[in-house]
Amino acid sequence: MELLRVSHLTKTYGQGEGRVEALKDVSFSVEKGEFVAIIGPSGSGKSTLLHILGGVDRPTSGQVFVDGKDVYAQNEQQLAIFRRRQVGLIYQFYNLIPILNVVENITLPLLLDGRRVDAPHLKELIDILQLGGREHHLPNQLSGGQQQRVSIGRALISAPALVLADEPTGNLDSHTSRDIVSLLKESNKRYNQTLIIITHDENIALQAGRVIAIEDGAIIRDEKVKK
Amino acid sequence: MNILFRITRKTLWHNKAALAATLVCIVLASALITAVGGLADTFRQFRFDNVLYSEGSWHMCLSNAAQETVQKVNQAAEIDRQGQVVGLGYANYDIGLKKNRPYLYIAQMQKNVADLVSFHIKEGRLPENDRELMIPDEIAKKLSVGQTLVLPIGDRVAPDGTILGQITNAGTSPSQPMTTGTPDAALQETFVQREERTYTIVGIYHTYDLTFQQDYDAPGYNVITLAGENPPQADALLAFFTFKHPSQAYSMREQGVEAYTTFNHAYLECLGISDPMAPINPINIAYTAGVLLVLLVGGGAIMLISANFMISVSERSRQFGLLASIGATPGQIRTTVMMESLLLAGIGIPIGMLLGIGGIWLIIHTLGDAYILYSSIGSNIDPIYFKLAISPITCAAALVISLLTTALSAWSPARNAAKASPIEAIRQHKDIKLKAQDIQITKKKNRAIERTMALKTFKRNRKRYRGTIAALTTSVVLIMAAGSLYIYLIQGQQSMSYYSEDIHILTTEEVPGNPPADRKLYDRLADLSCVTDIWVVDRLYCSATFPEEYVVPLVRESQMYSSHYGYLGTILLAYDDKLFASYAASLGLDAELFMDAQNPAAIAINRIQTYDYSQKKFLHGPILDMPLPYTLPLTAGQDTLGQITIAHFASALPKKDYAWLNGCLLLVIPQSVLNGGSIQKHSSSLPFVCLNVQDAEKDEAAISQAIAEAGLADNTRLYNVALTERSELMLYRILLMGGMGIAATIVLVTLFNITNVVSANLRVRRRELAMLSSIGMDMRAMRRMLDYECLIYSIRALLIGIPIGIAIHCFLYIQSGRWMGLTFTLPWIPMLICIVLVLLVAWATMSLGRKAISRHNIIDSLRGDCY
Repeated sequence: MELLRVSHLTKTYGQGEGRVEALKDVSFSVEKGEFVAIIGPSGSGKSTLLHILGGVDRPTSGQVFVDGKDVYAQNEQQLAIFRRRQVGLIYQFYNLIPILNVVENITLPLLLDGRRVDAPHLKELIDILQLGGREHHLPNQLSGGQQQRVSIGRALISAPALVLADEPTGNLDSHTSRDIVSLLKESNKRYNQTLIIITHDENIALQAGRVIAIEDGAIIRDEKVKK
Repeated sequence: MNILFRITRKTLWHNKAALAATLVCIVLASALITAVGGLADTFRQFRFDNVLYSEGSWHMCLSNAAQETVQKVNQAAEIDRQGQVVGLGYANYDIGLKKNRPYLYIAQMQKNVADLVSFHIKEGRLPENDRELMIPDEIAKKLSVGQTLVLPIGDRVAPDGTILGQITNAGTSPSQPMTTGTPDAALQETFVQREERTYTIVGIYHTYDLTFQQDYDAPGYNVITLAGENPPQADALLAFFTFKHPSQAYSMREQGVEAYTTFNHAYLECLGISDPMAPINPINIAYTAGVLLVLLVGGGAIMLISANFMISVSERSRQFGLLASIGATPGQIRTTVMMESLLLAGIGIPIGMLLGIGGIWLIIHTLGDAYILYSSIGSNIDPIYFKLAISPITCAAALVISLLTTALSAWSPARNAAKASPIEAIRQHKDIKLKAQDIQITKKKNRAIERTMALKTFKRNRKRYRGTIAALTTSVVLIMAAGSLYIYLIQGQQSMSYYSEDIHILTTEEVPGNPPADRKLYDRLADLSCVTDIWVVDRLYCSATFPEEYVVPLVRESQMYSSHYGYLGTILLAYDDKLFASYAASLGLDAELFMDAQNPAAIAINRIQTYDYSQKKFLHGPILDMPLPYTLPLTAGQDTLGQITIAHFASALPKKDYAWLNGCLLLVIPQSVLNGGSIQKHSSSLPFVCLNVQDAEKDEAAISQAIAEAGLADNTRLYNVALTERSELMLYRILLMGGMGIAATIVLVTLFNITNVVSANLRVRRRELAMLSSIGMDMRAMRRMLDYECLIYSIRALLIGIPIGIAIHCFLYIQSGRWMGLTFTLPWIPMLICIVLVLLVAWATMSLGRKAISRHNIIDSLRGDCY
């Protein structure tokens, strides 16, 4: 079942001589439960694409459909709700709220939605993320890996249909990176969430079911990974 | 809502610098708002207490009114209370105090008059029946409480049978025509007894009420007994009314009430009602001033608090962007900022209100025994103390205004926060990558690069600097406004003093054959050790004739000048020769030229500063435009008083004189010339002996004693002008202190604001500055760049704020300075203070902030979490 469809997406920055086409007429679709890796050199438009898929940046033209709904036909209010219910975004530099502790950061999307936190589900997530005992710690009291796990927890807590990760291991050592990828894969399998990862790491890319290569704002390759 | 409150609370707790800055602004703003309201309340209560004490609570009084007229008023309006004083008649009983006052006048007072009029019982009590008497304190030295008097009561009858009355300034009454009340030897009045009554003196009273007090020309001292229960039949000597709706008072004018009507203007003003015929509406002025002050303080507070919120929001723009990326709606982000403002308001406003009330208390406490009571009949002053009075309504209003101010201040920053872009919040972090290799700083230092960077930073971040410049401009405007307020308060105080002397003594009568009383007084008092200066001034009120073309157009159109007759209202001021001589010398004139009594010559004060009722405007400037010398006749009514030559124009009198208030041409001559015979002195001329003493309060007793020892007590009236003026100006002085307190607080707030704005500006740019350090910019270059930036936005703030401040200064002059007779000058000193303060404080803050930032680790700054 198709979860995500991108249709003729374009993103342009600046004007005149400073004009940059970050994305040029990008179109693709992703099935529910797919694990997709997006690769490409720096400045190719990978992050721009991910941000547009996540509803944090508007395209210059084109459409993004998630679960059949045009994301950018919504107003700001509806877009915010989309971001907290249907998408989970994981960043390279975690982007946690430094004044909130681990539990508060993880449960933030639910709390913003006014929903009650399911305590067993939260505990299960914290256990999976190996954050037991750190629930009330602030981000600056955690290691990089732990912060990234919190970030993953935040992305997963509302059980979104789509999880987007922008170089989630780019700031971590290899051992921690492996753990993080395992976590993501597990949640992909366990919750049947569609997972799209941007990565420079070939090993991670090979663990995905499909690889999309982007260069100069356009998809140059889109193929399933042969196991 | 719970998570939003948690985020708000934690945000405040983690960003203590921003919290403190905004909290201080809220505290000071609410302190100022409360202080303005509290001062207004306190002043109002103080004035009310004074007016009640000195004027009483009546609204309107009819003098010599027939009972039909009293009934007409009763029918025309809803009366709340009324009381009448009816004259029983004169008692032929000479106390032996003054020759021109050989009688007692028995006035029968209805019981409730005592509640309406400002009676003050000095000893004993009010009379409880019509056989008991209350006497004025003026005659208490001759009579005493408990004494029994058998009084022959009757009327004073003129030779033609006219019954002569007690009050001289009244109109005519149909049933009892009055002429002058002064016993006139030429009239050869006779006392016609009607009855005899025995009274017991039960009390001694004093009153400041001008309608009730002794008329000094009245032949009898008002002694008061209680009127019977039955409604009076005879004309009311005085009929006092209060109305259920006080605004009806002045409409009684239109009722055609046929009696002399006076209004208790001061009391009615306290009730918020001013005389529609008055040229200046003090209530409107007070309310306008109050509203302007609240707008100024409130507007300034909104801008300051808003600027702080703007800075706080811009510092946390990344946080808001992150929240938006996680799914916070714009409304939720707005709510966190508004919650923050309400939380800070909840802490800051009560503290501020307490501070404001405390500030007023401090002013009152500093002033010590501040009191005011204006008494026109001498220095018998009972103090009414200035005390803190803030009504619950004022507190509630201050609370509401402070809350609204804080909420309004946060609204715009909240909206900006809601617009925070999630992608900008994300990108800001992703762009930073610290390179491992060092970057050499070029040895050839190019200073232009710092200036260029400063300019580019400013131009590319106009939105951010808009907040900084707005906050600094607000500071400049507030400092200028505070400075203007201070200037006008100080100048206004100086313009409100009309006297040079501390005490003046009016000589009322000369004993034929004896030296003039003023001369005798002068000689006696000049020897007293407490007297530091003494002079005599005699005033002759008359008219001088000028052709139209010699009178300046503005004065020609005014009530000063009668173009039909060519009369200009004039006062001849005759100073003792010694003072006149020194005055002439100060003007470079030969005094001898003015000493010829047969050919009087005068120095004319060719300057006017008064309100003209006919043109409804203030007159400032010269009166005459003509060649000198000029000889003209002096007249008084139909009488010609003599001729005088104006030999010289001057702009100021030798001594400040209240004659200045009359809006007349003032002619200064030596006293010997006035007494020389060529100018006829008519009855309105009375010489004053004026004194400056070491201590006006303590030395009055010595002066009074010296007057009594000279046997002149009966012929003189002493006025302690210094005490009266001091108490009159006390209110103004309190206002001045309050104004200075407010001005000082405003300056403090602005200093704090400048510091906060500049340091916040640095905090926001910590990552950027860390980046510059990481690529090799040294501290000296960074200092130069930041100093240039500081200069750019400081100068912009000054260029915008100073013209606004000047506009406020002009506005204040038009509203108040002009009618106080003040001269307009540009506010140079406030401008200078602004320039110095803004540049100095901004630079100092920048220096300190820069040092603080340099202590931070570069990589920590580059990682640049929200805080």
